[in-house]
Amino acid sequence: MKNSWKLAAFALLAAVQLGVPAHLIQRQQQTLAHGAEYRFKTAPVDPADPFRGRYVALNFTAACAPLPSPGEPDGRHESKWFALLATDGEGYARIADLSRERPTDGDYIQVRSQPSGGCAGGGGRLEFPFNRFYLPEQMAPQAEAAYMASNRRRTALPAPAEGTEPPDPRVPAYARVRVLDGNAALQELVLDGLPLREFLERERAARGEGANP
Amino acid sequence: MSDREQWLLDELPRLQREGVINAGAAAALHAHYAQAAAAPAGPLRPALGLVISAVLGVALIGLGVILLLAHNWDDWSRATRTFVSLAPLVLAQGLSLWALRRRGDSAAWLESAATAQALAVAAAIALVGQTYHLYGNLDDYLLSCALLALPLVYVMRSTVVAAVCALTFGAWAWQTSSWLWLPLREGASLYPLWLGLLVPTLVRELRTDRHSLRSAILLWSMTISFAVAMPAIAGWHGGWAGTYAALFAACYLADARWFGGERLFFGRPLRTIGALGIAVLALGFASREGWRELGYGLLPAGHGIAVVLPAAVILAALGLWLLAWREREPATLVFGALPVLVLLAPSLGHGGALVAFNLYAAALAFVTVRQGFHEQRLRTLNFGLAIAAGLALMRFVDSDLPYTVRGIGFVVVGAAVLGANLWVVRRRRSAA
Repeated sequence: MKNSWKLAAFALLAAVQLGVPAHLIQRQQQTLAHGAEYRFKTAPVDPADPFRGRYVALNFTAACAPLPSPGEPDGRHESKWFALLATDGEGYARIADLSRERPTDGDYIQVRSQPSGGCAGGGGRLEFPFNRFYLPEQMAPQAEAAYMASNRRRTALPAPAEGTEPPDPRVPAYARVRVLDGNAALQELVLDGLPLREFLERERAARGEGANP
Repeated sequence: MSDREQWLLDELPRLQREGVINAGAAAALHAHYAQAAAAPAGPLRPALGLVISAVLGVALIGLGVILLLAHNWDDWSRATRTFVSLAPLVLAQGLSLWALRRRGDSAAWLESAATAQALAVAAAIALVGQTYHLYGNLDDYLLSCALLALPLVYVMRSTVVAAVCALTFGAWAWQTSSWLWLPLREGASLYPLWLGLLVPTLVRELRTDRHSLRSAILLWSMTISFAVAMPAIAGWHGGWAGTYAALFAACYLADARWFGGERLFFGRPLRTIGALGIAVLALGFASREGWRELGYGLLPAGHGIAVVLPAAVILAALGLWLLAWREREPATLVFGALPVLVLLAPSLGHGGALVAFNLYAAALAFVTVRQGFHEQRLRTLNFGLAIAAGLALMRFVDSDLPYTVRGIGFVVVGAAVLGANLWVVRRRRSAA
């Protein structure tokens, strides 16, 4: 390759290498600034990712949904769907519809279906385009421990009326997500009505410890 | 010029004086090594130690920076984090541009700058993902990084980046098939396309010098990548036995046909990978448990690339094996026969196939030991003995032989290993 061509090719490559992360940044900023807000019920766990520091891995109750055509070859493979979003009676996000075609109306996100399922009732499990909430290295294990403790904490609940389901005893946790033109941006993880960092501060204060380093 | 070559040049006058070599031989040796020393250290003949040190140093610094940034300082604003995410990439690009313009003939500069840039791209994407809590999917991440780094292979002529990309493509394909017994994710079928992007650089290096270090590194990484990716393409649930047998046999036979030479192990990637793979598979199929694996199917199940690519590998192996009959070299014919045996195995029945694979493994051991004796190569000899020992171990573990028989068997195999090595060492000394 001649030197002038090499330099031209290098300039193009450098522009693409910078352009990809720049595009990601611009898209997320737009979504955070102008997207509609949804609340997704969560259940975090805490793995360590050697590439990206510590994070809370997120699971969503809305991720279990019946696939429209589980018998098709595409239904057996992991495949991409457009999920039309709506809210349930409690204000949490739910999947109103799944389709191969991009919806022309309403808020939607792109999801991937897992062939393994894993949901009660045999529904397919969906992977949302936001599954990690990154935290400072020392804070992620605390977040996980706090959430697990919250899960076990039984709040004083009245006995359910005869013939009705008992209420969920867990402290509620959800992710605040902004959605704009099919793109989703995870904004905050909320535990017991507080943003995660404030929740952790409250827990530390309750235990009589100092502020987070 | 290496220390050994300099030592030889210094010795020439004394050797000539003492009549060990004549003046013509001394002049020829002097001319040969002096010419080699005077040759410019261009990209084709890099100072290996310098290149390795430079690449290793840059890689360690890059990984250290990634870990420092991955710490995730919560106090920083998004704007600061964005700047910090992209700054290493801009710096690395500047270093590469400088190397390209000012040190375009230095393999150490080009390789280390390209490595730094590839790491910086990976770090930038990871850190932006961390800042904005982007979807964390390892296979997508690996593929994005590899595709963004790949042009460096051609612009900077970086063999290190090519090897990393090849291995990353393999890891990506493997990751897509992490649910081993389930249908594959969409996209894994694109693996041949991604690996194919590296084929031009492999062809260029093989044409330049197929015995060079660059060629060896590319062959190692691309062959390992292909072997790792194979389950993602063909699927574990059908055809892995036939496909893997053919892949390893094709490697061994391709080396015998187009490479050869004195080098062994690292300098002969196709032969090393092929021989090791064939030996492991043969020993595996010689056991009762291993034989059951063949029950899952010899040929790939599925459609499209999942069948075409494994079928192409099988046909290539069979074709190369038929061509090898012209040379009639026993070791090549025996090693290359594994896919034929795997394909014929179902017609032999369970007992017949078990006997056939045991005989085949014994034949592998025999031809390898024979070759080791013939060429007086301890490594080849010991590889053949290792196959024999593996087969003996299989039989002793897998059968109901009394402990005394097993004990005597181990003693005999151990004595053979020691005796054969001693014999070759003595032959070498007496020849020297």
